[in-house]
Amino acid sequence: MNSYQQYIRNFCIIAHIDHGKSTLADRIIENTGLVAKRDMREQYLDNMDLERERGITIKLQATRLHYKAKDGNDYIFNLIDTPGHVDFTYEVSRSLAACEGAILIVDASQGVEAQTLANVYLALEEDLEILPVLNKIDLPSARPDEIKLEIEEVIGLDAEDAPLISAKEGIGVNELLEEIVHRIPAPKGDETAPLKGLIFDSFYDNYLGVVIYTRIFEGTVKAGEVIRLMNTKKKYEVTEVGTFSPKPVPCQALKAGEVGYICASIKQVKDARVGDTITSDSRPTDHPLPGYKKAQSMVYCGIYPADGEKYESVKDALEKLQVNDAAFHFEPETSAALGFGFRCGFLGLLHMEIIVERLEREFNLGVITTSPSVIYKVILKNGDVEMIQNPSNLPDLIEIEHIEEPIVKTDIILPKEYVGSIMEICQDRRGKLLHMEYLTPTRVQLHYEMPLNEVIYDFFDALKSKTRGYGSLDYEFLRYEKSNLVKMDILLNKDLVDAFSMIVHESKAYARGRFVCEKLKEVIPMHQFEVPIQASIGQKVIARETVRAYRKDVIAKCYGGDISRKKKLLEKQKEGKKRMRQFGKVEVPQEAFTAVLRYDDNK
Amino acid sequence: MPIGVYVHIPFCERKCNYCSFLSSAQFSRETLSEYTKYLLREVSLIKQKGICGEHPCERPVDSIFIGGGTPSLLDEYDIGSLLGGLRKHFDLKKDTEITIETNPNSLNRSKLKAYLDAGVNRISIGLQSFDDEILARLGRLHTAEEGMAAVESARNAGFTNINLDLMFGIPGQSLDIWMKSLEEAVKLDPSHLSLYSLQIEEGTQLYNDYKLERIDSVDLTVDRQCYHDGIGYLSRNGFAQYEISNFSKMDFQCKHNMKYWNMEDFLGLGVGASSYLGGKRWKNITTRDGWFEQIEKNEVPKDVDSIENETLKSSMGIFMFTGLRKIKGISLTEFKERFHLSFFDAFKDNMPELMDCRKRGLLDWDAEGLGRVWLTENGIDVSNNIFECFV
Repeated sequence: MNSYQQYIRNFCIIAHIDHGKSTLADRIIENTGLVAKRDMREQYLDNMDLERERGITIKLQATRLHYKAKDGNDYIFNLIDTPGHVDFTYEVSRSLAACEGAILIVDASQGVEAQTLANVYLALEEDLEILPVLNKIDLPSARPDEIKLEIEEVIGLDAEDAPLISAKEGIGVNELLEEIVHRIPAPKGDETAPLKGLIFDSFYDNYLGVVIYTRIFEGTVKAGEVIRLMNTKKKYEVTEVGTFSPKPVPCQALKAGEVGYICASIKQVKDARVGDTITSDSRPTDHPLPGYKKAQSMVYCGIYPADGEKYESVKDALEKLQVNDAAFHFEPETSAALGFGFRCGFLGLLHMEIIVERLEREFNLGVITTSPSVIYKVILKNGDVEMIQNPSNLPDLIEIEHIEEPIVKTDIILPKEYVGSIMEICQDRRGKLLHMEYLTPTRVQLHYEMPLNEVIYDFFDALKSKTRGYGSLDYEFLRYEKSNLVKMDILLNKDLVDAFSMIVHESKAYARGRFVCEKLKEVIPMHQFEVPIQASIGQKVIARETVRAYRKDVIAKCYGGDISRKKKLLEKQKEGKKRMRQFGKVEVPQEAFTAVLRYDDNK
Repeated sequence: MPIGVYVHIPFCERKCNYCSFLSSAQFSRETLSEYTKYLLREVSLIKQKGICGEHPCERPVDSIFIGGGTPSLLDEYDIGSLLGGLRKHFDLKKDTEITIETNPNSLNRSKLKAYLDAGVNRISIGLQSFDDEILARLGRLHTAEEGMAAVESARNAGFTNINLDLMFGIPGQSLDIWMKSLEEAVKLDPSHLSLYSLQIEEGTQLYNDYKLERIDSVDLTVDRQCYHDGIGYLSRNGFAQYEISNFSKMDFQCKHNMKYWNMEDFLGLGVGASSYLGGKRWKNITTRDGWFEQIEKNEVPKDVDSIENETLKSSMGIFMFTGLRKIKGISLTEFKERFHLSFFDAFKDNMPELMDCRKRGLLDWDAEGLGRVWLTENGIDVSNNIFECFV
């Protein structure tokens, strides 16, 4: 080990969502003095407004901290924040590969949850040293001794000396910093060897171009050198290297064991692919790093501009989002009801919601999203196989031999008192119970096989609601399986609105049809004519509702001279007519498309 | 040019089922007095600092309209001090029209006298209907009989300029019921009548009830029949229509409301009140707490985000769609004087639509195109669609 390396610790924080990752990151940043207390804001590493508002971390962020340990030495901590939601497993595995260790936070009242386990397995795959920590120790409901036992029993990690902390109150954080020094291994790697660095993230900056987040495993990189990206085989001259503290600070060189950034006048993020290996052009390394599995999109939906004229703006925005989100991709598609738009692939529903919200907030674009779908495998009578992401593209029934749907392995951890109601939900969603185990006397893990289309529909909401937030979920793809699926269409005013079409299991078509019609009746405003809403399978109508007519062509009153209100009304009316063309004659508000997907507690 | 002053009183004993306007039933007696005091503080802040660069207190005033909400909730003392304060801060012209909006259940003899003492010379009474069932459906707190009694009291107290608000196009209201109400109203011999076609607006109790089919549907044909038969009946009884919803006996047109349709300047006071001065439109802060707080900080309580500097295009559009509400329509000469552009040039892109409307007998202008543009009686029925040309 080189002498400088013994003072570096590269680590990340892993946890189930809401167990306090970002808060702990905040405290570590504060206690190492990186950010003056007056500049401190909550969730410091979470840059996006959306992240701060929802209290979740979406993108990983890396930052460099200085810590003066009790042994009198100055240490460099490279802290990489990771997301905790089931949708973002891919992002977690990216950050893990850049570290030697991981702090595993477990909520001292909630205990081990599905994502805790999933993240631990990811960390073990990367051979990381895992340092368990019990958080929220200040809460009256904290039961540290029990949870320690749970960690030992369920995960198999020694938790006897696990630091007891409250990230919120700052309790135990200094002790934890010492533990990081002692428990997490220093990086290794020969700084004189040929350069070998891992791209673990990248983003586009208007001034710097593409900025690569990298972990150097071997060798050294400096400004002025020519690097080669081994996967894309492209060469670039390095213009700047540096570290994040948390803003970019240029430095002389990045050496083996360090984490930092590289700018090399790269124009497009897709040229600096996450997982690629950086090496020196003049003295390349022989073997690239293993890299990552490509993120698999599990959920697809159509995204359409609410105003057809904004097609190009939506395209630009999606491109910009894709730049910093390797797991998101899209391609153009058209819908009879919605016109030109995009078919987009996501890791899961939350990922989808976040992309849509970012389009609306950061780019100020109104978009309409169609019912999310998984990828169906359609076996045709002529032997061809088609992968269908959009229900509207389902071939004619006569041509179909059968349809297969993706099945996922679903692991659910929950307090034992909710087992009954959750099993009911799983059953209702065509789940097959594989087995059930007691993790502790009070906590149970259920292993199910379930069709993915049931999981993405409203399962997560239902689970949270029925377990009062105590249930947690993780899932992974297993296989495709033949299933009795039908395409359900929705007709508004007798016109098929393809954006509402969905593929459902035959046994559930009636209930879904009724639910969708009822929801649409609630959200579709009254028009100047009656609007029948029908759900149909093929030619057969399986559910029907009607929105009654209401028409007024005269503004009778102008309250207190509020002419602006009147003007807006007229503008909206004019605008509405423009949009109406897209939906036949019926104006469908954007929220209709999400309302039909919401979990309804009363159902 | 003199300006109008609108004062908003955002309180009601009970929110009517159809009402989407800014008003709340959450208040106490003290709130009302406090509110009146702050209205006057608002005026004196405007006097000191101006508002949006305008200085309305330096201009003469020839109309005041105290609207709501339910201004008749204010007691004798508050109404006196409110108008006293306005007189102190504004230069009121001799023949200033001062209107107060009232509802029958909050009126009494002593209040009526206080209004007159304070200089109120026009009273508007929200009767809406003479059918108790319909009144209940609308969520009104008075009966037909109480409505009639209120009109009598107003007249006995000394009011000569009385307006009655009536509503048609109400679910369950037949043409017959409507015409009976109108007859009753005419019998009370008001000087002015406003006939409003009920608007079912999103966010109201009525909207939900209607959409969920808890109440009968409104037949548009009946709605229009009520309107046209109403116009005929009133004209036979000495009321001239001068605006889509407004009718008056000779010389009793509402000066204040005409300012809106003539696109003349007015200042709004109180929570959420709108103003139009010097080519700018803005609104006051629309939450009661926000409005109070701003005045407490000695700041004019305007909603900064609402300020619109009218562009020529939007100004011309507003001139048209407000002006066309008047039965005589707009004057082309005035249009040209105001905007230095002829009407036909200003809207040349919309000419095909406008010509089409003219062909269909909805809109008309003098053959030479020099005098006026106006909506026909049929045009009024689809006025919103015609007005789209101007936004």
